[in-house]
This record gives sequence, C-alpha cells and structure tokens, in this order.
Amino acid sequence: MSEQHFLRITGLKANVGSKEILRGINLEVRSGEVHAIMGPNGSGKSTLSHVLMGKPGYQVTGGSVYLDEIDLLGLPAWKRAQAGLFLVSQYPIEVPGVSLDDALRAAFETTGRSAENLHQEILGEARRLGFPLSLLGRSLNVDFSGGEKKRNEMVQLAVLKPKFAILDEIDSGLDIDALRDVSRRVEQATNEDQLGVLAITHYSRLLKELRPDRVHVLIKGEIVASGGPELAEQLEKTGYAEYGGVEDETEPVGASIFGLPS
Amino acid sequence: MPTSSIEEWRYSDVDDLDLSKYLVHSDASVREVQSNLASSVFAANRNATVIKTRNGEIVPGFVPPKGTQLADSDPEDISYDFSAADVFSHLNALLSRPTVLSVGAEYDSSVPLIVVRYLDSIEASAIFPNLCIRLERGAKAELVEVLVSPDDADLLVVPVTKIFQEEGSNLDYLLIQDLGSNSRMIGHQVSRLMTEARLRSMSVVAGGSYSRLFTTSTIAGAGAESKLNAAYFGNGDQVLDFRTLQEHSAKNGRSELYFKGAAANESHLVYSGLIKVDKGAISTDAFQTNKNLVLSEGARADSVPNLDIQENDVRCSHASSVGPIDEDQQYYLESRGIDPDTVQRLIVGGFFSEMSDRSGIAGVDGALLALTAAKWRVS
Repeated sequence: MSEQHFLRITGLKANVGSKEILRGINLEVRSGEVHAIMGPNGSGKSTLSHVLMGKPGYQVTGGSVYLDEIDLLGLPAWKRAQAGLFLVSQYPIEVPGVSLDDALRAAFETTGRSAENLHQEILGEARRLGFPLSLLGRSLNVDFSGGEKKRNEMVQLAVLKPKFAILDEIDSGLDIDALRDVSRRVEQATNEDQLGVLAITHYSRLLKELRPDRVHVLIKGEIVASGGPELAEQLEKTGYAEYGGVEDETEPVGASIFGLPS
Repeated sequence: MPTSSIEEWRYSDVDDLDLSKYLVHSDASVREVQSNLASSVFAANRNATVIKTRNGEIVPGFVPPKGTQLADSDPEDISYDFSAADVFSHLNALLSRPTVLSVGAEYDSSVPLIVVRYLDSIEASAIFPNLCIRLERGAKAELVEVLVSPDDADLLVVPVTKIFQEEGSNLDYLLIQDLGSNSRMIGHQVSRLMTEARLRSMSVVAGGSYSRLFTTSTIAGAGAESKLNAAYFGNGDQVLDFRTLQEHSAKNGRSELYFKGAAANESHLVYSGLIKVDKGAISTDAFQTNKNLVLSEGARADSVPNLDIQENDVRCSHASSVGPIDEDQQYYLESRGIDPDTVQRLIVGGFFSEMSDRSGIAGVDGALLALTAAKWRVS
C-alpha cells in the first residue's frame, strides 16, 4: 500500500469577473477514492476544475485547498501539478510542433525525474490505452479526434503519476469504447497507484464505467447533496430539478467550447 | 542611397549606414568560425560536396563534381530579372565576381551541394558574395548556403543569390544565416522558374545587428511552383527585415510563402510582402502567410502583406499575425508541471520545428531547434 494523501477543499468561493460562481465548496478526496461531482450546465463544474488547477482568469474569494500540507491556492498551476494534481481537460489544447514526448520529457526534467525510460513508458501506456502509436511524434492534439485527445490525456496522466486527478467532463466527445478504455485505466490507477479522482460530469453514463465511491450534486456553485453510487442512479431518474437545479438540456452546451465557464 | 522615408526601407537602419567606413577589398585572413546553426545540416549530409568561400571567393582547389560546371560570369537570363533589385544588389553586381554553378540533368541529386561563406575582416569591410545557381532542363539538386562571420568582425554583407531553373528542374534550397553580432546584412535572393520547375526554399536567419533579406521569386513558365519559407528569431536589439515579392507572369503557376518569426528582448521584426499577378497569368494560386511571436514587451513585429492582381481567374490569399504566446497553450503545458520559462521555450521551439517538413534538406529540423536554443541562451 503506497502513501495516503488527501485533497481537502474547504469553503471554496470563486468569481469570474464580478459574478460569483462557486459559493463555498467543501470536499475531501483521499488516495484511491473516486468522487463524482454531478451538476447541470451552469452549476460551476468547469469553474471548479479550473480554480483547483489554477487557470488564470478566476478570482478565488474565499476558502482553501490543501493537498496534504501544501496550500495549493498560493501556487501557480505548474507548481500545483508538481505537488501532484493533474487536470484531464475537457478540451485539450492544440500545441503545434510540440509532441507528447517533448512535453512529458520537459515535465520530467523540470522536476528532476529521470527521463531515461520515458519513451518506453509512453509507448507502453499508449498501447495499454489504445492511443495510436503513429500520433506519438505528432503535435499535441493537432488534428486528433475527440477520442484520441482523451486517450492522449490519459497517457499523460498514467506516465506522470499524479496523486490526484480531476477529470473535467471526460465523457464529452467520447464513444462507448473510448469511454470504457479511459475509465478502466483510471480505475487501474486508483488501484495500482492509489490515484485519488475527482470526476466532474453532467451525465451518469460515465459513472457506470467509473464506479465512484462518493457522488456529490453541485447546483449553483454549492454541493447540495452527497451520497453513495445510488445517488447517481437516483439522479438519472429524477434529474437535477429536485435539488433546485433547472434541467437545462436546451441550453447551448457550445458555450463552454469557447472557454466560458459552464 | 535610399532612406527610411521610402516605404521599401521603412524600419531599416539605412539612415545610419555610413558606406564610407567600409573597405571594399578586405584583407584575406578569414577565420573559419563554426556555425552551430548549420552543424546538424553538416552532420546529416556527410556525403555533400562542400564549396568553401572566403569573403565571396571560392577557396582554390575546388573541383566541380560530375554533372556541374563552374563559371565566373552571370548568364544573361538572370541579369534580366534584376529589375526589382535595389542599389545594394547593383553594387554587388558591379563589385563582385560571381560564382556560377550550372547543374545538369545528369547530376547525382543524392549528393547535396553546400556553399559555406566564411566572412571576416580585421577592418570594417563591405563584402559582396554573389552566387548564381542554374538548374538545366530536368536537373534536380539540393543546395545549402551557409553565411557565417565572427562576432567581432565589423561587416556590411551584401549577398546576392540568384536561382535560375529551366524547364522541369527541381531544387531544394536552404539558407542558414549565422552572422556575428557586428555584421549588417542586406541580402537579395532571387529565383526565376521556367515551365514546370519546382523550387522549395527555406531561410533560417539568426544573426547580424540588422539583417535584411529581399526575396523575389518569379513564376516565368507555365505550371511552375515556388515554395518560399523562412524562420527567424531576433533578440537583443536586432532588426530582422524581410521583403518578399511573388511575381506570377505565366499561367497555372503556384507560389506559397510561409514566413515565421519570433522576437525577444528589444528586437524588431519586419515583414512586407507582395503577390503580383501579371495580365495573362491565369489559373494562378498564390498564398502568403506571415506569423510573428512577440515574446517581450520591448519586442515588436510589423507585418504588411499586399496583393496586386491584374488577372481574374486566380486564387490568392494573404494572412498575417502578430501576438504573444497563446495563453491556453501556456496554461495547458504548465498544468503538466512544466515551469513557465520551459513552457515558452517548448512553444517557441514548436512554432519553428513545425516547419521542418517544409524543407527536403536533411538536418533542417536540427537547424530549427538550434535557432531556438541559440536565442534562448542569450535572451
């Protein structure tokens, strides 16, 4: 059994511009646990993931986030990553001319990890995740399909071996096979490396594959209910309306494609 | 003499240029300094025929390889194309002895030709290298030109490279400009392509306090194709100045220009380009793209693309961009635990290395990497 870690979010509040999006989030994830945060569009799901990772443009107005004894909110994104946090992006960014190998090598070198066997590790993970080997030398995410982008994110996660991973709407743009492969790899990481997971999603279909230990319902920037996996099943039947969240399937989900917080 | 009030010389340092301080016939003791930028190209082309020149003169003893001929006077059909030349190119024509290399169809194109120009002088000197390469009908070749000078040499370098391609010929050309920090360059590269000729050109420009490269490419025969690429990185208070002319005077031609620059510190990038389609050049495809990364507050880039179309049935486009590193790319890589400085170096490295498949010359990927590495060390 490897070391136990915790990611503790206490009273987290954040604004985008003058608008309050997160209104006091309390949550603790421990090594090896899978927590799901479910919520309708506009509930603050993506804001939460970006605030945790430290994306510029969000103002934290209250609360704290600790990874063990490390105060994450006082650190820039790259130091949060070095502390052991990883974000699987909803929309992985294209970086022309920079390959997966280049990026992971730089990440290893920045932290003084030996990159001697890195290429072999990347190859192994790419095979395990069904990521086409022919894409390994290509520019990150450039002309990748939705499924390839997510598998690529998972190769990075598997090689970097963070303590905690935030999966931001990992099911968007994934077909069933890819969703299963990605979920299986996350599950293996929770077992093999004691990865702690915070999976943020709108739909319960991800949770059928991912099998969370805890499910939290996020409405208008607050966690309004927490429970076991049965909560996800219940949500599937009743929707978010019961919790005061408007089931806004008609709202254009495209808004978040342009980087606007959903 | 031109002045910077003329549009073609706007942003240039021509007003500060005191021609009287330069000797024209410099002393012959030329140091052969190494070019880090070119080392990967040398390493990847060990079989190449290397033509060494010192201050523009071929080092004695060079024997032209089979299928080539060496001469020292310009063919007329090249001088013809000098109508767009500036006063410095004319000075070059007056003061230089041309190196004219003709490549025949029987030349073994698997052997690249590398012209290394060592430029140096103890006293302030003006040097006028003049290379003319002529590809005969159906000939195929790879040509690399390396310009290199020591940092302490006070030079005005006025290189002229003329490429003349006869029907169906095919050339891959690579320029590596690795001049020292006290060199000024006012260069002219001109190409003229006859029917169905193909040119693929890449210029990697790193050095000089002021470096100007005027690129003109003329589609003179039907169905010819010219691909003009450049990668350049300024730092310190360098001015890197690019002027281009894609001229289409024959039908069914294609020209594709892709120039990318990065500016660090207080450096200044200038790009000004024109696509000119003459009457009768129907079914022309001509494209022009200039992208600039501005890496610091003191750095600057000016980009001015232009079109002059005299024919209807053509497809032309131009695009240019000037801006800092993309914030989303920066955040994405930082969220992998990479520090901001390394992230910038990766992104800028990627910005240039993305161009490596735009040249067929082995080792060009290493030259593009070396361009970023060299500038990052001293930035």
